[in-house]
Amino acid sequence: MKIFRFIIKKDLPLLAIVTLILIIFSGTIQLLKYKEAYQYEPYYSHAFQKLSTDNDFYQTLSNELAQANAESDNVYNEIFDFMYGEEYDPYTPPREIPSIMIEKLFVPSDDGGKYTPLAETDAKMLFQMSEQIDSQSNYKQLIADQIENYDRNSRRGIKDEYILKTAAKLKEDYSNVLQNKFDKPVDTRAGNVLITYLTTDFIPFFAAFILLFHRLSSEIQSRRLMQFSISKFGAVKFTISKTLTGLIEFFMFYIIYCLSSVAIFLTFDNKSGVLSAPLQVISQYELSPEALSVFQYIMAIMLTKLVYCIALGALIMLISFLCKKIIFSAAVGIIITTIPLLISKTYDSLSADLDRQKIKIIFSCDIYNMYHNLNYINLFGSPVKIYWLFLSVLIAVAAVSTVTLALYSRKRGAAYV
Amino acid sequence: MGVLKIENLSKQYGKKQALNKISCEFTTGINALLGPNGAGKTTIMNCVSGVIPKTSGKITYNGKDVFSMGAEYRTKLSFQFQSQPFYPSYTAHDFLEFSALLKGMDKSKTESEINRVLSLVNLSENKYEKIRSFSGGMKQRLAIAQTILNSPKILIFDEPSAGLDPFEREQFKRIMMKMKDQSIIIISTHIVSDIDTICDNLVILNKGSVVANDEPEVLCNKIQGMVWNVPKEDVPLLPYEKIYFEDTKSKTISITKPTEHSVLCEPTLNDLYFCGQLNKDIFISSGGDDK
Repeated sequence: MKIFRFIIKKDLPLLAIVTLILIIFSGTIQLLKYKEAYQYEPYYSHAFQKLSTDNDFYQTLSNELAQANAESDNVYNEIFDFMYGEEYDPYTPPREIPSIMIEKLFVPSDDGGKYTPLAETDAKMLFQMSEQIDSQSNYKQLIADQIENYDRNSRRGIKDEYILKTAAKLKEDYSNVLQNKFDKPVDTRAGNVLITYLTTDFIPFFAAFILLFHRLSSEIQSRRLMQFSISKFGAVKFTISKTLTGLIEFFMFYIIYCLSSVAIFLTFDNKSGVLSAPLQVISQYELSPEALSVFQYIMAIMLTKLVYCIALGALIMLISFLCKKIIFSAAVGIIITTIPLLISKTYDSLSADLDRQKIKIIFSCDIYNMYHNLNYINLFGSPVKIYWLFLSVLIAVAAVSTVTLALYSRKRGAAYV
Repeated sequence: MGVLKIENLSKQYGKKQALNKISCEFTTGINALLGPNGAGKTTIMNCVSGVIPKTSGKITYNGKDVFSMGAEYRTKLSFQFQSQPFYPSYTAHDFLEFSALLKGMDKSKTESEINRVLSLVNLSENKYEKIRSFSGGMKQRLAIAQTILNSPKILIFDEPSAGLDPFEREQFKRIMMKMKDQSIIIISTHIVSDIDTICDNLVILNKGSVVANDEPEVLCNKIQGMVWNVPKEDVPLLPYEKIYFEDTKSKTISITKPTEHSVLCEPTLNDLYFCGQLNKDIFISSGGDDK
């Protein structure tokens, strides 16, 4: 433990600088996303509140908007006709629009003076709201339909054992989801931003790279490993201490990263109750077979990413240990950090090969698909949740990397006493 | 008193025989491994410290096989490499503190021990300076400090005087003299002046074999009457490879008078060194490697 404390103390300045820069970067991105999600405040909150008390409010609002849009379209057509006449001729310059017509098309905006297109803001706000409300009002029906589909599969006489087993598992999962009673509408804007951000953000992976790619470089080549291995500690303990402290330092960064993300979330939303709502209320997650609350899912994302980063970090440190020059370990490290993430963006080209796609989900840490529908993979004929396979694979990668580090450091240290 | 014993140690690199069944004994005090480059000094030290595997033979410390002692042996051992590695971003104090932790020292003793070794190598004033700002000589002194930290029972130095100025070399000798009663000190060098006045036991190596192993005085006695000062005018009369030069003199080793004007002189460690390289049969015929 003393050696752990010493190494971490020595690395603190670098850790602090890297953490500060990355957290500022991450925080800025999140704030911009929250700002976008909350751009229709306070009107949105007011409208959303009315939803709870007025059952027809949503329908009324939609009708009004449709009416406004129709009117706006008519005005556009009227203006176009006025400018170009009934027979459009590209060589004839358009007529100047009288100001009275412009005023008909535009209404003054709240910040005074400027004009915004009629009902555009309302339309966007309503679209955002409809996304939220649709997920919440429809997910139970969608899941019920899904269960019905699986039942139909077995009635249609499908004989494939794996498909039937998967259907049975999914039915069971969906039944668990339906047991969660949650009826009132909930404002999911902040929850949506946080979940989308956490599932797609690459910063922790790059933090693992930046903090660890130089961790063990030159230890062999400079003979420090040899030097320090002739001590009570020995080569293996020396290398493992450096490896583990590297992972602890990454963990320290990660805790701050997670806490800062949650803190930003709470500044926007600390009373909507979205955290205790089922995951399915979040747009795009209506068909998730995971009986998790939003809070549990956020924890699952954080843990899944942490495991991925630990495996990635262990692999990066092994590479830094083996590479003769730091530039090579940096190059290889950046490749193994970014390539999987880039691959995750290429689903369409491989869409026909479902199992291959699922393997890609594991190696690219694609959390969204890991917890989404069809999140089972065929393992020797049995359906296994992708995230369990993900955890097993990554724990194996981390363990193999660490054991290789230990064995190789023993070979390259004073191995014979 | 500790004894580090090497018996029939051989080391082969592919077809090259680096060490050929050598046997010698290092006891508490200053032991010098003397020989030209490629004689096998570093190979012996690497085998003793477990850095490389031996091909055959036995190395024991106080009767115990060192290869089965593990951490117990490593705790007693300290090895200063020819070019000592550091963490350039560490200060001298940090580096020694880190070494102390790896050596398993008590936290309570660490600070005083760091101060002690830094003062021995005259680096007390540079305690909190980054190693990257150190000169070559300062780094070498820090390496010595790291090696003697916690007063290990077996201290191995590979070319310790490289990069040290004459004053620092003398200082190094003083440190060795201070430690010689508690530790087996093995110094490998090809510079005779590094060990001439301080060494208690001398091992002369040539091409992977021990040519002579005894106290310097005993070895000097063995070549008594064989070391000749050859005047300049007589030098062309002898084969070129039989001559060596010391200060202003030309010398040779010979059982009989080599030239008419040659004059016998008192043997020195330098003569022993050249005798080991030029005329090793002298030691063998007088039983020099049979200690």
